Amino acid sequence: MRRLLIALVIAALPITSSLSAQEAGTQAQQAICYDCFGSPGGLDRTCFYSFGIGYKYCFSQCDSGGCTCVQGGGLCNGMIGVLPTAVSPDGSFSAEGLPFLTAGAGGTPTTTDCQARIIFRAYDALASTVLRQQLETLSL
Amino acid sequence: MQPYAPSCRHSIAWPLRPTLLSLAALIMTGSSAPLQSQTARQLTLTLLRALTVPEGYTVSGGACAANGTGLLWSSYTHDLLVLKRDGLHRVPTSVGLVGGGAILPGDTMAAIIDVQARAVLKLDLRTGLVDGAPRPLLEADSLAIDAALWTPAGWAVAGRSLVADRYELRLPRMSSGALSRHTIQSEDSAPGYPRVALRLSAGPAGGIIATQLVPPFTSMVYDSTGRLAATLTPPATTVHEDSAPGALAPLWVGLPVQSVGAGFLQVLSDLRSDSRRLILFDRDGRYLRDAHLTAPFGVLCVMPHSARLLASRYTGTQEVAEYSWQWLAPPQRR
Repeated sequence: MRRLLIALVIAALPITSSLSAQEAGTQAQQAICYDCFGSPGGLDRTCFYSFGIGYKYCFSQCDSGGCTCVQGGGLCNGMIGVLPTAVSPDGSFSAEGLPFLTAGAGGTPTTTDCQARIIFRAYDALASTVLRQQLETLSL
Repeated sequence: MQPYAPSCRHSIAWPLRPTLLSLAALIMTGSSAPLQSQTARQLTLTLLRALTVPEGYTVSGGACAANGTGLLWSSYTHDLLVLKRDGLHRVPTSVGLVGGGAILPGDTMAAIIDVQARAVLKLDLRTGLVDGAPRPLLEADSLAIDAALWTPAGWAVAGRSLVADRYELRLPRMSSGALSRHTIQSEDSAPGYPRVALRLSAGPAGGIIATQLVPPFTSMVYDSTGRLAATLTPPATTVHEDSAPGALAPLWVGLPVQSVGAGFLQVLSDLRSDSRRLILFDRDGRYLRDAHLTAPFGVLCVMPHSARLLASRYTGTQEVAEYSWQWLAPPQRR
């Protein structure tokens, strides 16, 4: 009976091992960096999860040619803070609106610092449908 | 002009499905309202149409014409988008960084503010070509333009002074054509925020609304003579919430207050999430109530004569959405 129970529990677990760790990592990197420069870069999963599901703050690293998620104190590592140009009309933070990242929090921005490129969210079809339905009528 | 047909394509593939938690968060909830709001009318926004913005185009701002035509611009491309009854039309141009715009009567020409040149351009929306020589924007003399808004009396501009340590709001006066200059003072800014940053939107009867991007998100409503007619401040409790342990605290900013018939609508946005607070004020600037929304959503501009507005929203793709608004009597309580 106990063996049967264990077998049932194992069978009920989501199948996450169909990809090797390397394959999964590659997929994740491509997903993370898909919209930055089209070139995969590093992945900091801590960064990704710290901003919540569906959020990725992706910045180019000057020395890598790719893009790497970075995490740090405040909004994101070295970010200057809220600039009016960084606020999209839908109220999103648009890293594209930031002219430059500083090398470290509180630093002075220079033209040699990394240029912030993009933040993008991604919803799957179900989430998009739910969102659209939710936004059909707004009452307050 | 090439019409852009609305579609539901998803430009970004993402392998993770949302959890039940994230779906459950996609709920608009009302917060507890003060007693006075129990009898106030309710505002309802009803979607009329939503159009997907062309892939790769990032909308930075927009303006509405009274007849329903919309003008959208981007800080990342020279092209403009024109919203008409048959869809979005992309207009290639060679203008610089756009800080504001307006559709001129007749719907074929637009006035555009080139922020870097501090000049006004007249643009043919059929060809994208600049008509005539740029006119220096005298209203923005010695200002680094932060926001600009077209009004029947001329351009209103807000920005940092280039010659002194101050932030100015300059409003055209309907009666005299002169400029009314307001110096905006601010307390010490919160960490990460600029001291002052204003957003401008059209107020009632040719007036102007200046909204503070930064806390406490106060808005000043000026009439067409430049007189301060009302001040709107959302209650501090609107954005007060305890963040989960280890999570980043919300970073709220104020989107421009919009005049929606019998009152004002403001959206506060958390830059670190999809949380939005929709806040309703009456015509005198009194807070009525607020609601929570978990979706990227903000209002671009309003068309008061037809009780419609254009919103920018994100549902997996960036969209421009047209809503009608209606004020309804509150539900009867038994």
